[in-house]
Amino acid sequence: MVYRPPFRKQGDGSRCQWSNCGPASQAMASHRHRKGVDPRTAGPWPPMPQAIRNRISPTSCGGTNLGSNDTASIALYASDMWVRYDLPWDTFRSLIQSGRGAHVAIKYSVIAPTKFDGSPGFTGGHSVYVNERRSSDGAFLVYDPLADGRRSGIPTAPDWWPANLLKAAAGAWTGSGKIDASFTRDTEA
Amino acid sequence: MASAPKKAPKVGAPASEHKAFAKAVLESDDYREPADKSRKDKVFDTPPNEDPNYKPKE
Repeated sequence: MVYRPPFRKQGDGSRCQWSNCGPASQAMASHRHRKGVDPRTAGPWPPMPQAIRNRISPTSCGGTNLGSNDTASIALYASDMWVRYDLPWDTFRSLIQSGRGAHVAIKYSVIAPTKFDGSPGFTGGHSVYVNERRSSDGAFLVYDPLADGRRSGIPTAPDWWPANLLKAAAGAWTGSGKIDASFTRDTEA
Repeated sequence: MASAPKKAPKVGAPASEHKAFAKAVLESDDYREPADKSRKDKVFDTPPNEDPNYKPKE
């Protein structure tokens, strides 16, 4: 079975919580990258959204991106991931099948009309952590930092998203159907 | 370094093929920069309808 990190929600009461989709997704990706083992570097273990946020912007909030989260992850957890842009979908799918997790940029307007919507009314840029692909139906196990069940109707992550939904949401972020994502090492080697 | 292989293994291919393909893709020069350079700095958004003072029940 593929290693699964613990779910981290962004709405955890910490500073900048609602802008912390990136740090929350990165915390889960860093956990997978290290397969749950503390590298005993500069950061507190386990990886948490607040530590990553504080590393990116200690005195302000605002959005993050794949690059800024990866830089923080290197400093805190010695987790130097592979940040890649404009990947064809089949390439992304194969990288997940190779034994890697991924921090993936998506557009939430694609998720909003579905049962996976973790913040009604939100349609902007967002990021999620994708852990694995299920061979029986091709679905992906997605950890959406907004899907914490905090209110009635809010789903609880992780959940299996149909491949075509993840593909559409990630493709809408780039606007070209290609995928921007940051990959962990192969933890299943 | 070289260009990444363009054709991914089929869904049902052995794990070894996906691993070899992934290694070649990630070690290549490709996909390191977005075609639209401005997207590299584009940040994720904040949901507008969430209470900024929200404290989760533990």
